[in-house]
Amino acid sequence: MLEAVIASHLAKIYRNGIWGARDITFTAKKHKITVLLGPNGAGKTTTVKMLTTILKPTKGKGVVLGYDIVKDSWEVRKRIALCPQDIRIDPNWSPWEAVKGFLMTRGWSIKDAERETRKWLEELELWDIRNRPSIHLSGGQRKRIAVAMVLATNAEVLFLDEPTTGLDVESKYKVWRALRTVVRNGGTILLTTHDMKEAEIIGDKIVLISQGKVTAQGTVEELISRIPYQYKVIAKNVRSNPLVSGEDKVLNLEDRLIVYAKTRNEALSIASQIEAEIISISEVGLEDAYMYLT
Amino acid sequence: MIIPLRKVCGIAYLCSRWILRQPAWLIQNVLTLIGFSILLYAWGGVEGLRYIIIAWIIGGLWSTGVNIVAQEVGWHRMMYLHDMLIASPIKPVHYLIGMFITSLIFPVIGLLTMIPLAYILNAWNIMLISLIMGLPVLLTSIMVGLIIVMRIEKPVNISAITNPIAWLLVILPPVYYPAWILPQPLRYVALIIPTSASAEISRQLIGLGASISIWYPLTVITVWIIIGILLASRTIKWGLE
Repeated sequence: MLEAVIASHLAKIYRNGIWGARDITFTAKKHKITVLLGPNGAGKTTTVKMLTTILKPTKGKGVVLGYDIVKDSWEVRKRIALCPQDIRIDPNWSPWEAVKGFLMTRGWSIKDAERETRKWLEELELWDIRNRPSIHLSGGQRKRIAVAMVLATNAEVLFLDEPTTGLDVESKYKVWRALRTVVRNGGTILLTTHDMKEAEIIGDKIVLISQGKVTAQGTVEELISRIPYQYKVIAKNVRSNPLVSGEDKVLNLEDRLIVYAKTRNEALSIASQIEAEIISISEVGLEDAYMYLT
Repeated sequence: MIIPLRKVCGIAYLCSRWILRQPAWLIQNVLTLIGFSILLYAWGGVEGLRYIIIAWIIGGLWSTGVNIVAQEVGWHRMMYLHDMLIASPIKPVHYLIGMFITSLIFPVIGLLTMIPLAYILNAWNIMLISLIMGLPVLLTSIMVGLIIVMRIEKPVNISAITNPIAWLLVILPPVYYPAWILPQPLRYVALIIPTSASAEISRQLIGLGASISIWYPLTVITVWIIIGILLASRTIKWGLE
C-alpha cells in the first residue's frame, strides 16, 4: 500500500454548530511530504486533529497506514506523532529533557532516548543550549524543540501543524532540512502551512484547502500547469491601465497591478501597454495556482 | 510490562521538572506544616498535634488530586502537550499514573516531615490510620480534579477553581478540628465532605472522640467514590471528541 493517509469526505461540525472542515478528500503517499496548504481558518488544523484521532469526524472516513481513525484509533496512535500548531514547551523543560522525556513517554528506553535526543538536537542546532530551561530560550528555539520532539520519535507518519509559523528564515531552513532528512530516511510527513514558498520548497504533494474543502491537489508542477497562464507582470505606480479589471487575468491592487499572460511575448506586450513602473515579469508559481484554483 | 513502565516513567520525568526547578514549593509545604504544628500545639497541646497529623495527611492527599493533578492536566491541555500525547502510543492510564506518582512528592515530603512528630508522640498508629483513610480521599480528589479540568473550556483558569476547592474543603469543615464542637444538625452537613468524613473516621478509630455514628462518614465516602467514578467515566475523554 503506497498511501500512508487517505481522507475521504472528512467533515467536522463542532458542538456550537460551527464547521471545522466541510469536505476533505486527499491521499498522502508514504516516504513523501504532503502539504495541506490554505489560509487561516481553512480547516487544516481540524483535518490534522481528525487524522490524529483527537477529533471525531462528523462525516467521512480517514485511514492512516491502513487503519480507520475511529475504529482503530489505538493502532493509528501507535504509528504517528503530532506537532500541534500552538504547542508551547513547558518553561521548566530544557531541550534535552523535553525530547528525552517525550521519547520515554512513547516507551523508549533511556539509552535509546538519549541517543536519539542527541541526534535531533544536533540536527536542529539545539545541542549547545540543551540544558537551558526553555524559559530562557527564544520563541524560535522553543518551536524547534517541539519539532525535535516529534521528529525524534521515528513514527511512521509525522503530522506537523504549521511547524515553522513565527520562525525566522534561518530557523525555517533548519526545520526544512530536518524534514527532508526524515523523508529521505523513509519517513512520511503530513504538514500544514499557509506559506506558499514553504509548500513549494519542501512539499512533494500539495493539497489546496479553502473554506473547509479541498479545491485541488497534486505536485507543484501539476498545480501550476492547471493555470491557463505561464507568466505574470507585476507593476507599481499605475497611472493608466487599459486592461479590464475583474477579468481573471488582471488583479487590481489599488496602485499595483498583477496581470497574467500566456506567453512571454504577451507579458512583454502587456508591460508596454500599462503606464506604470514594472516591478517584474516572471513565471507563475504556486501562489498564482492557489489564487486561481481556490 | 517494561514498555508501559517506561511510558509511566516518561510522564513522571516530564511532570517532575517543575518541582525540581522550583523546590521552593516543597520548602513552603514543609514550613507550613511546621507552622501549623506550632499553632495547634500552642492552642491544643499534645492533642492538638495529634489532630494535625490526621488533618495534614488527609488534607495533603485531597490537595494532591484536586490541585496538583488537575492543574497539571490543565497545564498540559493549555500547552497542547495533551494533543501530542493523545496522538501517541501512550494510554490514559499510563499518563494518569505517571502524573500521580509525580504529585505524590508533596504528600511524601509532608509525611517525612511528620516522622519526628510521630516519633516524639509515639503516634505511628495515627499516621497509619490517617494514611489508610486518606486513600479514598485521594481517589475522590483525583476524580473531582479530572472532572473539573476536563469539563472547563479554558483550563487557563483551572487554578482559580481548584485552589479554593482544595483549600476550603480542608480548612472549613472539621478536618483540623473535631466535629463535636458543631451543633448536632450541622455535623451532618459538615461531614458530607470527603475530607471531613475521612478525618472523622480516623479520629474515631484512633480514639479522639466520636461526634456521629461512624456509618455516616463511611456512607459519605462510599457515595463520593461511586459518584466520582460514574462522573469521571463520562467526563474524562482521551481524544476523538
